[in-house]
Amino acid sequence: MPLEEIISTLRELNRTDKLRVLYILIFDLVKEESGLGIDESAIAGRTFEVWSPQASIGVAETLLSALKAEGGNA
Amino acid sequence: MRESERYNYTPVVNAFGEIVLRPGLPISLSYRGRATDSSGLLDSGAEINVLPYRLGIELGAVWNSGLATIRLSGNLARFPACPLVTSASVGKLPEVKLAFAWIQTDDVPLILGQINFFMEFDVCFYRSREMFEISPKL
Repeated sequence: MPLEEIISTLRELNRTDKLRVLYILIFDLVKEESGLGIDESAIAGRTFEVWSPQASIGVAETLLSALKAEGGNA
Repeated sequence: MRESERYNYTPVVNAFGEIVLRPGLPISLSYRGRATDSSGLLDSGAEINVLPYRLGIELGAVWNSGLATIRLSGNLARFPACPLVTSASVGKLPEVKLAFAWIQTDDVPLILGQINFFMEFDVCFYRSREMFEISPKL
């Protein structure tokens, strides 16, 4: 398909799909230029930490008590 | 009409070099006369709010080993944390008080979790439209 046709088709996309195309192309460029290909051998054995905290027992109460002491809505 | 603010998801580069979208909320924190602006990760799966060490220092908070100790789980379990209550404002919405687990590491984003960010604000996520809407609790 000629480039002009592709561009014309892309312009008909909604905002979300345009952004999706943009991200895909940027990601492809980053991969090509940095050599950051994602393959299983690259991630095997590595640990990727997840931030989302699950508090231990009593932590929620501790924070709510601190909030109450400062006049917040506990 | 209920006050609300809309924000777009923020594109960030993850550990794989991929560009992904995250719900980052511009938020202003203040503590005893000092303020700092930051972007908080809206994490409805997080039980509590978490404040990175650097932001607490920027707010003038003093780490005191005599404060109550908070023990988090998962990958944050190895860092000490203590409670810190700050004022917080989002856009033009009314200011609220937020209680954080102030954690002694910067290897974590500012996390806005169930206690007590989601107790103060209602948030609607429209991921397919890459935006979210936030309003004060009813």
